[in-house]
Amino acid sequence: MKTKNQRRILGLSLSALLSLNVLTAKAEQASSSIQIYAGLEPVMTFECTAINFGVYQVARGDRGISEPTRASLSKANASSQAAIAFTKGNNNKIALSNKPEYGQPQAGTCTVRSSQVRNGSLYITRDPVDSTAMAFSEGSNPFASGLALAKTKANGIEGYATVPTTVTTNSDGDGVFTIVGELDIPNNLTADNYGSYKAPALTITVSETQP
Amino acid sequence: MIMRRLMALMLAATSLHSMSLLAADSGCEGVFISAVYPLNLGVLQLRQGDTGWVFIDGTGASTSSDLVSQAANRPVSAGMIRVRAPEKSTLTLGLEVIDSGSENLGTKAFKINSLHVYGANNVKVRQLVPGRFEITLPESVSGLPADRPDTQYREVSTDLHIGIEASLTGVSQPIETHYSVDVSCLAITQLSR
Repeated sequence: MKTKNQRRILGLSLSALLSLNVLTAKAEQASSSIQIYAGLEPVMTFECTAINFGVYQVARGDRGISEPTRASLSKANASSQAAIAFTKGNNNKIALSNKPEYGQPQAGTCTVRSSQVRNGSLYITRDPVDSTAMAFSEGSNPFASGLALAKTKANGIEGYATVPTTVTTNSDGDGVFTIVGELDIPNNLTADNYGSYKAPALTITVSETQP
Repeated sequence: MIMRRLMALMLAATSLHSMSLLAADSGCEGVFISAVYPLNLGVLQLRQGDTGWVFIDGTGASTSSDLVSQAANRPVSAGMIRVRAPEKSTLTLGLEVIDSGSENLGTKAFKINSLHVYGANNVKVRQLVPGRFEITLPESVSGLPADRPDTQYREVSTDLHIGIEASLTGVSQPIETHYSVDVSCLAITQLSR
């Protein structure tokens, strides 16, 4: 009798093991694959250097002129040195200083890198949007070492920036353009008018699509 | 006497085996995993040579370091998998990143640092080690599955979201990269039937 019960128990145990094997066969679906996608692209960068009109030696008082002397900053090409020419008013009693500590006039150089527009054109906008005069004020001039701030702003000292409207890119999406400008130096300067000046910031924006 | 001992051992072994099914069976019986949505990081922008990171959470929200930005109008989403398993069970899921091989051009610029799993409110998720997560499922609110009348378990089905943290290095040309992640059930612990 005991042997019969033991056989039944053994039979039940074997049944349990067999049913476990059936369950194990379903484990093949306990995994899956999920996909990960990502794109990377270079972001366009844009930097501009400052414009430096230079330092001028100017006679005090009446220089005998009826309109401000205009110093025009130009640059023939990206690799050339910027040049100054007096294009308006009388250039008597005024000269560009050549002291080494006063940096030479420099056009602004703007560099675009990694644009998605390759061998094409980018659009340039400026703020202020037109070329109205930039009213200079007394301020530190990083190009003129040792030149103190002007104590009083000279009336009529103004600047103009000339900004192109497009820039051409190469096959890497890189491009360079130059900002030049003009500086008007008024008559009847006083001792307090001599010194360092700066213009308010001009904001330049480059876009890959037409604004 | 010898027969009794043998039977006792047999029963003990059978009992242990049955317990292992209930308590910690590594076969993941009754566990079904399916992919629902891919994880999409969109298009990430950064300057050539710069480095940064991006993090996508379970809602698909993107956070990135200062030098990284997301391209506009490109979809970003967390991944999603659906898990069906016995109620009140605790699963150990393993996530293994499989490199897509020759199609994957961005391996140097894009590096997966970690993957993250997010569950619904009634699902507990705990990271055991990087790439391994413990998922504790709730009690089923429905009866036995109608499509599988032979099953012994009440099941729950839940969606798990997959997030990611990756480091990036700026490239000179746009690239697209693609990985597969194998999601596997490594073990199941069922507290009660």
